[in-house]
Amino acid sequence: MIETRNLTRRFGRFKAVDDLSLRLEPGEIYALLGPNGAGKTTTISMILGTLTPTSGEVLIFGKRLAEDPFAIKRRIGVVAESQAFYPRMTAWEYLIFFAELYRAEDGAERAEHLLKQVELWDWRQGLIGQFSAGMRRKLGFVRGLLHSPEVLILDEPVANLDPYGILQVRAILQEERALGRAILISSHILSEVEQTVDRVGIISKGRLIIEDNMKNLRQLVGGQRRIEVELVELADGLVDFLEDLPFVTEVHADRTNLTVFTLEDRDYRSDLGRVLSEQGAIVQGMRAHEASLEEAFVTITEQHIRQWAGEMGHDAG
Amino acid sequence: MTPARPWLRHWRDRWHAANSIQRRASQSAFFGWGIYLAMTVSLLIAAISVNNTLNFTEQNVLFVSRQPIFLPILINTIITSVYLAMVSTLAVSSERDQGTLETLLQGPVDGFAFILGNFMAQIKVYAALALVAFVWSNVLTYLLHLRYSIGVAVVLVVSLAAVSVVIAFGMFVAMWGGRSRTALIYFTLITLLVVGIQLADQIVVGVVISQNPSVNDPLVTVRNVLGVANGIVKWISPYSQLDLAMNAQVDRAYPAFFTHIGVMLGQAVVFLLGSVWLLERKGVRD
Amino acid sequence: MRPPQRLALLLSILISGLATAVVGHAQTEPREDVFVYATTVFDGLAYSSAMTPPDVDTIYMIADRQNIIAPRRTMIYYWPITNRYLADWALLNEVVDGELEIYQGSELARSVPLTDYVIQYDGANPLETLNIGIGEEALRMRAAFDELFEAYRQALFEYYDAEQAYRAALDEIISNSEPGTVDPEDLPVRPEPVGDFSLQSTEPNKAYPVSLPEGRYEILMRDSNGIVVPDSRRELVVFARLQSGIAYSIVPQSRWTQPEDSVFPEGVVYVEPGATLYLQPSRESLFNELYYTRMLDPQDQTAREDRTRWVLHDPFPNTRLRVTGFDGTVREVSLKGYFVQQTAGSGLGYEVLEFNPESMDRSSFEGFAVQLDGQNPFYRVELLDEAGRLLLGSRREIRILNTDRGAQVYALGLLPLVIGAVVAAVRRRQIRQVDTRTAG
Repeated sequence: MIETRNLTRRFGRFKAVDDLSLRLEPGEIYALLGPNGAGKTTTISMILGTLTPTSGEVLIFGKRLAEDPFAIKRRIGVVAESQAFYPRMTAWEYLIFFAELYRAEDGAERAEHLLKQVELWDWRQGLIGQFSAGMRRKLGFVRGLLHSPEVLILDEPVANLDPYGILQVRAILQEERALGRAILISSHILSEVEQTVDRVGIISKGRLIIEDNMKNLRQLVGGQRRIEVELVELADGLVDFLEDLPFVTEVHADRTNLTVFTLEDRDYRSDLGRVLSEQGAIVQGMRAHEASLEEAFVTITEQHIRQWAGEMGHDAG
Repeated sequence: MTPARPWLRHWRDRWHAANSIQRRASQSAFFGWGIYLAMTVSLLIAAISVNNTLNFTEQNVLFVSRQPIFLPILINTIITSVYLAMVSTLAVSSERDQGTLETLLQGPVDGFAFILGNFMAQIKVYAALALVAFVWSNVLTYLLHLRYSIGVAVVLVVSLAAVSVVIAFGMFVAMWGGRSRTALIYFTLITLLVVGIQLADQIVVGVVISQNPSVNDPLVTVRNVLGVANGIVKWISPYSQLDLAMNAQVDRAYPAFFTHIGVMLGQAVVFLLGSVWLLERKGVRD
Repeated sequence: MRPPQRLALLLSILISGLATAVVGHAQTEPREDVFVYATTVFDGLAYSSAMTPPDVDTIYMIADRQNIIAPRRTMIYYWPITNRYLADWALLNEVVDGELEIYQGSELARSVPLTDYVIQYDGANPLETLNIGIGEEALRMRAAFDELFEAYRQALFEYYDAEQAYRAALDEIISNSEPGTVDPEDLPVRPEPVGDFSLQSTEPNKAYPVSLPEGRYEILMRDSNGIVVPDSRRELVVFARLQSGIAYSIVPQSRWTQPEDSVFPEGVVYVEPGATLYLQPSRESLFNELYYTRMLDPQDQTAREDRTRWVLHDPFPNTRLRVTGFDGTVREVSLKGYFVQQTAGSGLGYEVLEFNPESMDRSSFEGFAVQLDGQNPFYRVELLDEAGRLLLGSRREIRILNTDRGAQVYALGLLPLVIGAVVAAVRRRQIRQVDTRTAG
């Protein structure tokens, strides 16, 4: 639905986005991650047409934006990071304005449905200027979905939301995905992203350094699994014994707590449990720990920074 | 920004977007206190002019005038149009400052629709104010036994052309200046310059008339230089064009009447297109 | 010498000294021998004269009328009282010989030789009788005038002789008769006095008679050797009347020394309730302000080319004013003379009375009286000719202005605030106050 081909944007000599090619498919949630200044917002601006690429192209629904900008943009919903509102409008007036702008069919009904979902329905006649940051975030979210867009572009959709609000947004996103929408999310709240996304693209210094699903990302970063074991008592020699096991790569002990690193190819908890039992250890708890998206993100970007620094002859720090 | 494209394509979509923006912006204007206060101030100042006429007549027994209501109407038009121009300057540059312009342009709105929509909104507001001015002038005509004249309605309709220029100019300055405060400063300075030239010309002419100088007097040279500057300003200033159109209408000089209207509409188009060009060139952010 | 006499002497010395200073000042302003054009131009009603000094590069005249351009050498001087260059004709008034060439663009439109001209008119009715004679006709007109004047002189002398004889005869009869015994039929007949000779005529003089259609031209003089006379080049702007009409000078009874002109056709005159007005209609013409003003005063710097000016001409004889009230009442008013009688004694004020030739010397002004009663809010006035036909352009409205409604005018200005308050109230009802503690 959205495809960028060798997208590049320069600001003078500075390359904000460098040869970026990505593809967003219907029915998936794609997260675009990157540190500050990586080029996420620039990429989104070029996709939306508010910034002209220096080179490369953006295809939306298989067409360039310039071919039919109005019709294409009507099929896109945008929830930007910095929300802008008209403070002297009521929430309802604001939504009806955008429903009309986007020629949304059943705009009023859709607005009502969404407002109820985010629990803003009772405040629809309130002035936006009096809304809290969280209420505005929700309102912006509703506005982005008002016209049932086929593509959703969300920049920090859950910022300023309380956990309950985050749950509401997550539910809506999953609903939209089920309807076959293509959703592009840019966010810093990686734990929330991790729970909803299908694919992740990590961008750093304008380049898309990796693009894959969560499972593969974790594997890429981890290379091994970590199993946390809580024992009643740690017998002497148990650590050495465990380290000799073929599927164990490393063992750390902290009083009665063991951290056992195993191979990544499969889940070795049952094997470990049997071995511990044979050695007479009494296991109080066992938990497998996968590499988080945050760990993946930090690792990958650090590697990229080191690589980039090496290429440039800098000290990566 | 989306690259420049033939503006004649997608005119339906553009018109729809402009209309939506116009509705929002005009509603916002009608729900605020600003236009009512501005209109009140302008009518009170116009009332001073009317009362001066009444006092003059009382003192001098008679007062000869073709259309005594024209000057108060002109005063009202100038004040309300300058107010609306400043409002449109601020509104457009504020949309840029606060980010709503970017939000709109991310959607099915382009620069042309944005400018046109805001322009139409201010024109709609002025039309409503002109209607109030029309009611006011008719009530006044009845109260004071002035002569009813279709000319007042004609003047108010024609004033739409003058106001179009001022509003379009305000939007041009908004796009040029960028930030709200900068745009407002530019608008004020340029307006003061134009008004200043006209005022200086009137003052010097008054001095020349009172002193009745000889042909070689330096004052005559100053008058001539200012006269040339004022002559240029007359073609630039929509208020001068409105005044000339009003006089042409009273004199039934219809070719001149329509020429002056054409000049005003042409100026408005130039400023609007300039605004769109500046918006597309500068983008949504500084 | 007694004090009053001393004061009178002092004052007379002072006044004489001042007058001498003024005249002397004029005499002592530096003179310059220059070439000028003296113009006699038709001003829409009669003829006016003007002098165009070298610093003024344009001459203006009305189109399709006989005008006179006279080339002269004279002594000019700057008169600071009026900021004008004046000509001392008494010192030098020399005709400059040559032919006047008139160009339009680069084409020679015509060439005019120096020609005799006279201007004649009857002083009793100058506007109707003014006439310019050119060439041979000028000489004939002057000769005829001289004859008439000579005949008048003869008649005058004969009258004086007859009057003298009459007085002598009367004295003789009276001295030779007893009082009350003279038969009136025996008295000599007093000779009829000779009326005033009101004809006026200039001496024949040399100038260029010019009558041109509307347009811009350039003029210069070429002497008999074909050389352009220095300082003779000028632009010549020939302009036409833009519009004609009927104007009214309106004299309010309570401020009769401050009339106002109503020049615009179909115009409106707003008056105080209960006023009495005297309307004085006259023909009017609309001209370009700059062209007309500089035609009469070539050195003027106050007029503007982007403005127009109505010029009032001669009054309308043999007309009646029809006054129609709002209630449909119609009356016709005749032109009458009025006399302003000052209030006797030390009090200020005056009274406007209808002129009575038997008891009053002469009228203060003439006009059509229009008394505005309280019955009608407005009136329509129109001029009718002798046959009762409406004179086009003579219609005016006179409206009684309600000058006591000032407070209401200001109150009306608050209308937008009322509308705003209503809108604000409606808006307030639409909005719900947001309590962010409970809204989330």
